[in-house]
Amino acid sequence: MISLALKSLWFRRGSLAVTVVSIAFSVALLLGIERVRTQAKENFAGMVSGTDLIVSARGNPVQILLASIMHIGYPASGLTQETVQTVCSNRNVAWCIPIAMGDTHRGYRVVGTDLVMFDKFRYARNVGLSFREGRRFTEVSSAVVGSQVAESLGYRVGSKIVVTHGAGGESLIEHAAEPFTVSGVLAPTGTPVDRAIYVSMEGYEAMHEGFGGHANIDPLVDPDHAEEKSVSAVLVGLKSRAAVLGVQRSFNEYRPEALTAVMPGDTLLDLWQLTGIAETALVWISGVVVLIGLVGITANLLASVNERRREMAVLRAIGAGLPQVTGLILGEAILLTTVGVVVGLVLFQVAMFGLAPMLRARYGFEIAAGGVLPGEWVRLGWILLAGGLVGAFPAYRTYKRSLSDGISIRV
Amino acid sequence: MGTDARLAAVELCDVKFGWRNSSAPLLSIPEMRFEQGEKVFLAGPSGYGKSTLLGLMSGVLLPQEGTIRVLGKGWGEMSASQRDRYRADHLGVIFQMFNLVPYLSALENVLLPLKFSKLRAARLLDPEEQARELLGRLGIGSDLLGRPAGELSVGEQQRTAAVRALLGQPEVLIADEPTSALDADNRDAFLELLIAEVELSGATLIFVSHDGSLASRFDRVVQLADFRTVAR
Ligand SMILES: Nc1ncnc2c1ncn2[C@@H]1O[C@H](COP(=O)(O)OP(=O)(O)OP(=O)(O)O)[C@@H](O)[C@H]1O
Ligand SMILES: [Mg+2]
Repeated sequence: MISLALKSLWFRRGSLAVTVVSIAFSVALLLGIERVRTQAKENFAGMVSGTDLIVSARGNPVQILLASIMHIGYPASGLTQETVQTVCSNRNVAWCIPIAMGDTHRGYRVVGTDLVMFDKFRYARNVGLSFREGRRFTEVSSAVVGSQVAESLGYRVGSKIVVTHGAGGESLIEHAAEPFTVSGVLAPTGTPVDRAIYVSMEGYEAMHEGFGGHANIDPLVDPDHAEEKSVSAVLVGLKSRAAVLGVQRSFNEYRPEALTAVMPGDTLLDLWQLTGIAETALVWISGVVVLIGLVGITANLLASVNERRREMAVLRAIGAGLPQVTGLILGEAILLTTVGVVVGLVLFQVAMFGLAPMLRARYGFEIAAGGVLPGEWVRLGWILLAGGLVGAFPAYRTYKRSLSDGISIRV
Repeated sequence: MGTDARLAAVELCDVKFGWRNSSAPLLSIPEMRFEQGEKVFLAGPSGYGKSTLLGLMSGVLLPQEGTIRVLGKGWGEMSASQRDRYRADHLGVIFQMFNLVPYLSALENVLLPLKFSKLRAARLLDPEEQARELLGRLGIGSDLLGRPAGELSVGEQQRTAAVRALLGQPEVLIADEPTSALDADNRDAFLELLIAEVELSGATLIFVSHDGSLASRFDRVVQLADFRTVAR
C-alpha cells in the first residue's frame, strides 16, 4: 500500500512539487518573520541590559531612550555640570556614564563620554566592552571607534578623524582644527556601540571651544551655559536594583533642573506598544501566508481526489478497504505538509545564514541564524496539525464517494 | 437449497435494495442463485440496476433487506474489513473501462490483488511468472509489461484486467460490460479468451452486458427485467 502511494505521488510529482514549494515558502516566511521579530526585541533589550536608569533633561521617555541608547534623534537639551554631579553622587548610584552627543563623523555619531564607560557599560547578557585593537582614550585628542566604524571607514589605531558639527551631511562646519587620533577599536557588540566614535568629555568640549557652543544650544542666545551643558544624558547603574523606583522619583523631582529618569526596560515595553500594530500585522500576514499554502494543498488534493475517483473504485474492487483508500489521501496530505515544512525549514535556515551578515553590517542587528527556537517548533507543530486537518476534508470526500460509488466506475 | 450438496457461488435471498431509502427499491429479488463453475449472462436494459446488483454481490453495497451469500458466507455477517478481505480472496472484477491503475505497469496491476489477498497469493508458486504466462496467453507480450497501464490500448487494458481478475483463481468472476468499449473483432477475441480461461480455472462467471448477441456463449441468461419493481 505504501509503495502504491509512493508510485501514485511520483506519477503526479509535477503538481505536487508546486504544492510543496508553496508550503515551503510560507513556512520559511512565517519562521523568518517570527525570528526577526523576536530577535529584534531581544536585541533592543540587550542594548540596555546593564543600565538601570537614563537621566536626561525633561522629555519623552521613549525619545530619551532612542536618543541615548539607539542613537536615533537627539535629546531636547543638555544637563548642567551641577546636575550631573548630583546624579552621580546619589548614594544609591554605583556608577554613572555621562554622554554628550550632537556631532557626527561621516555619518557615524561622535559621543563624548567618560572612561567609566569601558568599565561599566553592559550589553546583552552582562557583557562588557572589549577592545579588538589598541586601548581606551588617554588623551584629550584620542578617540575609540566602534567595530563597524573601523571596518567601513578603514580606521586603525593611529588614524586621524575630523569631526563635523551637527548630525547631518557635508554642508556643516568641520572642526578641522581639532582632529582626533584613534587610540583603540572596540570588538563588535551587535549594538549601536559598533556605530559610534567615543571621545573623552574634555575632547568633546575642546572640539567646541573654538566654535563656542553645543549642538543643541544656540551660542548667541545662551552663551553662558554653552560650556556647562554639553552632557546630553547620564546612564546610571544602581548598587541595588530594588532601589530603582525611589531613585527614579528623586531624580524626577529634582528642583534646580527639570529631569526625566527613564527605566529602559519599562520604556522598551512602551516602545513595543507603539510598534505593536505593525507587529500584529506581520504576524497576521505570515499566518495568512501559511493559510494560503494549506488551501493550496487542499485544492490540489481535492482535484486529485476527482482525478483518482476511478482509481479508488478499482482499488476497492480488488480488496482495498475504506480505511486504506481514505488513509491514502490523508497520508498524502500529511506527507505533503511534512515535506513542505522540512523544505521550508531548510529554506529558512539558508536565508538566515545569508541575511545575518547583511543585517549585522547594515543595521547592527545581531540575529541568531542557526537552529530552531522552541517557539518555532510549536509553530511548525501547528502547521503539521493543520496539514492533517486540511487533509481530512478530501479524505472524507473520498470516503463518502467510495461508499456510494462502490465498485462501479463513473466515467 | 440447503439440501444441495454443492455450495452456491453466489446466492441472493429476499433482497431489496434502493439507492435512497425514501423511494421504492430499485431491486427486489426473492431468489437468485449462481452455481459454481457456471457462466451466466446477466441482461437488462440500461438503468435497470445491473451494476448495482454486481455491487451488492461483491459486498461493496449492502441490501436494506435480505441476504447475499458468496460461497456460503453472507456479506451481512462480516465486518467491513472482513468483507474487504473476503472480496479480495474470492472475487475477481472486470469493468467496462479504466480497469487499471494508470501509473502502475501492466504487470504491477495484475499482481496488485495479491497484496490484498494472501489466499490468492498462496495459490501461486511464482506469481510473477504465472502472471507473465497468463498475460502472454491473452496476448499481452513481454514488451508491454513494463509500460504504464495508461499507455496500453483499450483492448490491451481489458485483457490485462481479465488477467488481474483471474490470477490466483478466485472462485467468482464479475464482469460489468467488459466488452462494450471494444470493437466487434476485439470483443469476440476477448470473450473467447475470457471464457477459455474461466473454463480452465473452473470459476463462476457473471457477465453483464446489454449486447444480447453474446448470450449464446453462456450456460444461462438471467433477465434483470424480471426482478425489477415497476414503481415510479
Ligand atoms: N451511486 C448511486 N447513487 C444513486 N443512485 C444511483 C447510483 N448508482 C446508480 N444509481 C441509480 O440506480 C439505477 C441503476 O443504475 P445502474 O448503474 O445499476 O444501472 P445499469 O443497469 O448498470 O445501467 P447501464 O446498463 O447503463 O450500466 C439508475 O437509475 C441510477 O440512477
Ligand atoms: Mg452499468
